[in-house]
Amino acid sequence: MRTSRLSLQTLFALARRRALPRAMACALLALAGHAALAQPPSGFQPPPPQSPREAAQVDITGYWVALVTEDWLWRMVTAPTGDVTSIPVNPRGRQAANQWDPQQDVTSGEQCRAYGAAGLLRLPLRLHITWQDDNTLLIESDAGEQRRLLQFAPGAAPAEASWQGHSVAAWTRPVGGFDMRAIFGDPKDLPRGPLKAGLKVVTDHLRPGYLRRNGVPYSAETRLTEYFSRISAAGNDYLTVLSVVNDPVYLNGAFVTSSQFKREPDGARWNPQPCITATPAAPRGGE
Amino acid sequence: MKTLTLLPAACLLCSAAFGQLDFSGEWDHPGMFGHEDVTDRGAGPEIGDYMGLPLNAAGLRKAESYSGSWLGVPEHQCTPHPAAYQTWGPNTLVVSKRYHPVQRVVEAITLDGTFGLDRIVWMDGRPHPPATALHSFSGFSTGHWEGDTLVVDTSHLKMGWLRRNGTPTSERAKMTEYYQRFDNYLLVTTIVEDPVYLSEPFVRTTEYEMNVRPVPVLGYPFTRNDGPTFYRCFPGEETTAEKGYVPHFLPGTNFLLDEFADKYDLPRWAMGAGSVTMYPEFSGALTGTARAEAAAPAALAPLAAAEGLQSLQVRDRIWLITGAGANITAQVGDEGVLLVDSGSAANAEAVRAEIRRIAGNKPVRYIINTNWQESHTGGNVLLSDEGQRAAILAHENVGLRLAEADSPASALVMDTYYGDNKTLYFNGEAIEIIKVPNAHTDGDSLVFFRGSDVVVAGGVIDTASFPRIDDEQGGSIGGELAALNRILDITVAETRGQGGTLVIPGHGRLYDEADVAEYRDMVTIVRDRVQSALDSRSSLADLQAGQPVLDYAGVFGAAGSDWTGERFVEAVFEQLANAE
Repeated sequence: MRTSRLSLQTLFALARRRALPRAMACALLALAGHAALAQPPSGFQPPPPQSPREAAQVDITGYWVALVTEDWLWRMVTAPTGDVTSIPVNPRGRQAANQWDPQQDVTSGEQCRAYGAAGLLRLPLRLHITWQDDNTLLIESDAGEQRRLLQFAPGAAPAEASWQGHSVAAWTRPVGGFDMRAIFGDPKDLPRGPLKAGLKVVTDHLRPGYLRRNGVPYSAETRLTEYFSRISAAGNDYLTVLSVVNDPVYLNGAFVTSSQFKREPDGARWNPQPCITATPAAPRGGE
Repeated sequence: MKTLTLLPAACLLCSAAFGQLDFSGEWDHPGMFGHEDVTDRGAGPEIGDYMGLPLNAAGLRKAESYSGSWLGVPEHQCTPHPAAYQTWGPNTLVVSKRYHPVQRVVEAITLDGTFGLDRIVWMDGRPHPPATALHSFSGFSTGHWEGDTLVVDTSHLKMGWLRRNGTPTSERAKMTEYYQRFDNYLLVTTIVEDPVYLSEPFVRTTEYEMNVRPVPVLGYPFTRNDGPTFYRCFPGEETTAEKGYVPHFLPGTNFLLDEFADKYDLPRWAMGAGSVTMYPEFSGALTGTARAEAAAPAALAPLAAAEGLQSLQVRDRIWLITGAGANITAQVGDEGVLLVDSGSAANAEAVRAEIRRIAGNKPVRYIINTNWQESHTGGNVLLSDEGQRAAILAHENVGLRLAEADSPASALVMDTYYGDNKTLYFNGEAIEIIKVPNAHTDGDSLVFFRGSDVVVAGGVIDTASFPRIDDEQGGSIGGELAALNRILDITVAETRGQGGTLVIPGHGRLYDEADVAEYRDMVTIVRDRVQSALDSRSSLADLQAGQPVLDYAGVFGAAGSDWTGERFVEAVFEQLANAE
């Protein structure tokens, strides 16, 4: 496969100069890619593999504070029992929400049900994100004092479910880093700057918990998919998290929310508090 | 033949390996309204729900004075969701690319949604328009890529809202959006910075999922899968309120705030706490004894601050020249140049040079003065001197005031009128000079270019200032409001309450009907607040202590201006008191 010795850049340049027919360039590119993947040329020294920490193109470590600009009436205060506004619960989920007994949670020592992974980031809280090691991001919350491990090199799933479950993380370029315009188009059309990776995290092995403090349930069969990203704007750094909760037991379909956090310079406002079972509000008049 | 066989296979491999960087297509909120704040985005939020918004004291005052009946006012009935709210509304999103017709590169990305909320994001590197250009509810947007993220910067927004309960954004707001695709989800992060009504940036994230539904699932206006809808809206007579009535709550009288507090068991002060309501500790503060108040707004310089002499083509033959004192309107055609106002004498040479640049050697044939003040008439002497001296037209009180002031312009012969209007036909269109008695002064005129569909408002509107009600020169609050409503009689919006007839103010940026209506609303509301104080026998000092123009000072009370909000209130107070 001699084509594998052609650099991708050379192929692009030839194509742009019309030195190769466009179709041929595309075919060569694909073949070169496959050849390169199949068998490296002799004498080729691949670079040492990067650890997930080294490969990170987005740094989400640091202290972050939730900006509760959405769903305020359901996040900053505990809504009345049975209030499932905005959540696509099925009849079973609605029934469970209606039957929520906060005292039962206290009695059974399950005050952390509202702090499980599928509900945690919707709470008013601060996060502290650090690298526990080169393969694991640690997310700590001050509210509920929870610890989530996002594992890039996960071992076997734990036998026992937990509030924060088993999270498998991977850097992801949100739908591709390559654009056919590199060959066929005008370079001006191409994105500027480095391709930014997002962080995709899939979590399961969750202990049953609540999507909201007022006992709207998710089950042990829940799978949580999250996409973390960072934005620098208006003189601040923001962390955004798109969360997709799939629960065949209590939800009609995916429950999709997005949450935003603002970077704080340090942990001066970090305020660890244990899990609490909140008292629901009285039924809201007019509802 | 082999090449032809390889092409699709190879391209498929490329796509499979790398995907494509493209948001084009149709996107829906999950569950139609999304899974956040469904009641807000569906039926609408409650008056008083200011929680989680970084409103400053001015923003809160504006929000608290809002009445839902405002949407029944004819000029506001077709108001669309402004850009800062559009992604939060119950809309689909259709993303398309627009190619340059010759260069075949992407020159823009269009964002179309339900309710006809069409936005163009220019990707060709063009600059944003000058500060004097027209604003719109969608604003002017440019985009660029930062890695995989489409970043959209939007300026030139009209007064709008963050929620559909009157929580405001001003015309000085800037919006930055970040479009990111994650698998089949599109995340839009919206950041609004508004020095007038916000004490911190407002951040909202909205998610869409790719629309894969095969058929429309709902009819208008929640149409799916059949592309953007044609949204028709005509203002109608929805109420029996008299013309010019502006519904609003006087400060401290909005009982709906108490209802909201009661319903959600919130302390009443919490609704006035502003940005702290966004942060986690506020949850604990709700049951504590500490109180928080929204931040005071900052003093701001004028929006259309002097940028030197500039000209902006408003319509085919109509130009706006700014930076020469009062705004100058130039109508340019085969018969020559007609000016409405002439700027200050000190800028006349520069204005003449600018007219030469715009109109070549076409002579100035007419100058129409909308009032007598030097910033409007100072250039008369020089600019009318084009060999055959240009005719100068104005209401007769302009001539009298110029003579009283011993102005150099008073030496010129003027064609004055004293009736309700005067008309002429020039450069292929009818031009109507309309008297608006005792507004800014006693000699104000509007000038209506019928063919171009442009109204020159003269001193009746200063977009960076409260109206200068010059009592000594015959101005009055009643006349000012009558003049503003007269302008609204003439204007016709093109679509969604905006565009259509354009209005050139005496000072500041280009307006349209929606802008004039906002200005009229402001004057009416301040008038009502002053009248309420008089009705309750409050003193001027007591009235001023209550900051009756707090919510408008950031837009119309530019720092450094000699005509402050306090002076405006004082003028209105004295006039209304004298009228009793």
